[in-house]
Amino acid sequence: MGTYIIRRLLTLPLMLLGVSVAVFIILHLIPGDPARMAAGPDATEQDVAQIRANYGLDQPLPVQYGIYLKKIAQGDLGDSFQTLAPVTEGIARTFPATLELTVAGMLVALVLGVPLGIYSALNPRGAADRFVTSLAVLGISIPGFFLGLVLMLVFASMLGWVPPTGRGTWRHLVLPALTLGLPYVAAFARLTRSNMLDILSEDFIRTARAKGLSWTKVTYRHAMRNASIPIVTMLGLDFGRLLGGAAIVETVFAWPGMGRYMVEAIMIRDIYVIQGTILVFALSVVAINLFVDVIYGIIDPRITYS
Amino acid sequence: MGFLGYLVRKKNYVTLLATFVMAIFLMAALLAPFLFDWETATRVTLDTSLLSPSLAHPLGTDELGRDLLARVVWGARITLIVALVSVAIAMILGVLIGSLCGYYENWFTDAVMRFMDFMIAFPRTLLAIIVVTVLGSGVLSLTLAIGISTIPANVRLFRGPILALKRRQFTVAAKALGARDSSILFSHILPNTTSLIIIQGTLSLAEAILIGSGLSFLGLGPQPPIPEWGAMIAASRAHITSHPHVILAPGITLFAVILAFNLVGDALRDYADPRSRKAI
Repeated sequence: MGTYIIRRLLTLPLMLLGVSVAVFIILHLIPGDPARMAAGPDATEQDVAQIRANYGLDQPLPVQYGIYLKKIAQGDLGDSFQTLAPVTEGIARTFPATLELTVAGMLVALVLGVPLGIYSALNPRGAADRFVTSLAVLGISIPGFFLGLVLMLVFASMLGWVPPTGRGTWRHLVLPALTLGLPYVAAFARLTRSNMLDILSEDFIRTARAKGLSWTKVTYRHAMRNASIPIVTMLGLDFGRLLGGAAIVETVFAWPGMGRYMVEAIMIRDIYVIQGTILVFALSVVAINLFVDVIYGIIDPRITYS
Repeated sequence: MGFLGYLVRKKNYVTLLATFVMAIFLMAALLAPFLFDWETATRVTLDTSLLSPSLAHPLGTDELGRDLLARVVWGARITLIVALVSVAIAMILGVLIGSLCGYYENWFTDAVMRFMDFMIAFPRTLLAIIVVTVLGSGVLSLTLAIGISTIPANVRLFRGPILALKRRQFTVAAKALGARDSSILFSHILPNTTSLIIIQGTLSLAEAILIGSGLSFLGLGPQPPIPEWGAMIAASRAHITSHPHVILAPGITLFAVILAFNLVGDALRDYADPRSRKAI
């Protein structure tokens, strides 16, 4: 198992290189001349040429890639054209908010989905079962921004239980987290249910029952632990999806996260901000996948990496 | 009609209703220019702004005084065009690359598949946002963004069946008879994936509408005054508390259409292959 984790970690530099090349290419595909944008509207041709030389933008592409990698290694992602502040500063300000929102959304999906799945596995063909099936289709059909606005209308405007927008107390987090997490509740419930059903019919469950263990113990100790493996995988996959959906939820609730930071930069073609945020999003996805694979190796000793 | 009869037999009235919703959506999209002229859907008349639903304006008016029914109907047309074209791009390229990667197994197709797996690990919305960033916002780049970001998933989806089909006897027989690779692939193997293409196409339309409306909501899609549902909701959301109808009219329509495509896609899957029904 130790070698599995080491081997998996060894693929990391390759992934990072791939991500950095992809982001570098994207930067160059975005229309607009970064030197001209950095120089501002009143700059002379000479100023623009000066900036181009300073940024190394007059060098051949492979050299520019080298400069870019070196700058990343030094923790320099360039400066925003609009605010002139370093992009790393903007990311440090907004990323924690996005992470908080994504983790909270994930918890909503887990805390509601897994018990619902266990319940419907223990009571197959019951009302909970039918409820989960309908909920699954609704979950993949509702646009996040519409769900968010409806929740805001009902719970913030009409009932006044929570504030409609902004970030601060836990009350501010409730609606964005629900908006992000609710569509995934049914997916988690379905996965938990089918795993539980598979495992409950296995020999070792019968053995556990035969030696006189109680239903509760068999269900929660033996079955639940084994059913959790695919849930961890899905957690990893969905974490990336939630991170992608965060931009929309952040816009609805004026949540000061990195998704909004990115979208606002796209609107005004603030190239270094776009590049930096895409890089951090991509690295988060790579990190989560790696983390899940490692966890997977730890909880299931049968897995080897080849 | 086979499929409708099947729904009635199965007493699947929800999906029957979904088929009806889909039909209305298609009709609205096709007939939009005959129902309302473009002027009605886009001209700003401030003295009629934010009217509640009435006989003259069945869904009310938005903050710029435009009739919401006209905008929702024209929105159907924009939505359908974006969804159809993006799904066509994703299906044609996805099926083509997927079948080539399934048919020829070598280092190159292996590398292509590795790359596709790498792409699939990234969230669809994020991929689409990146493509829009490169192409700029607008109807065309939105369409391309949705199409391109769906290709990796389609490649993986279609490669599997091709891998299985090329080991079947009829393929081996065709090869033994001296058929060319292209003829084996296109006239022997691919026709066997028709039902998968139809089912996946229907479900992809639902996803394309979902992602497209999300990008439009962020302001990365069609620009005003083009009546796209996501963009309409984004433009009117300041009035959600005082005039909820400006959000609910396009929002419920959007939700209903996506739901309809998903329900019909699921039912088509059961219809095409009763064995694939989710085990209970």
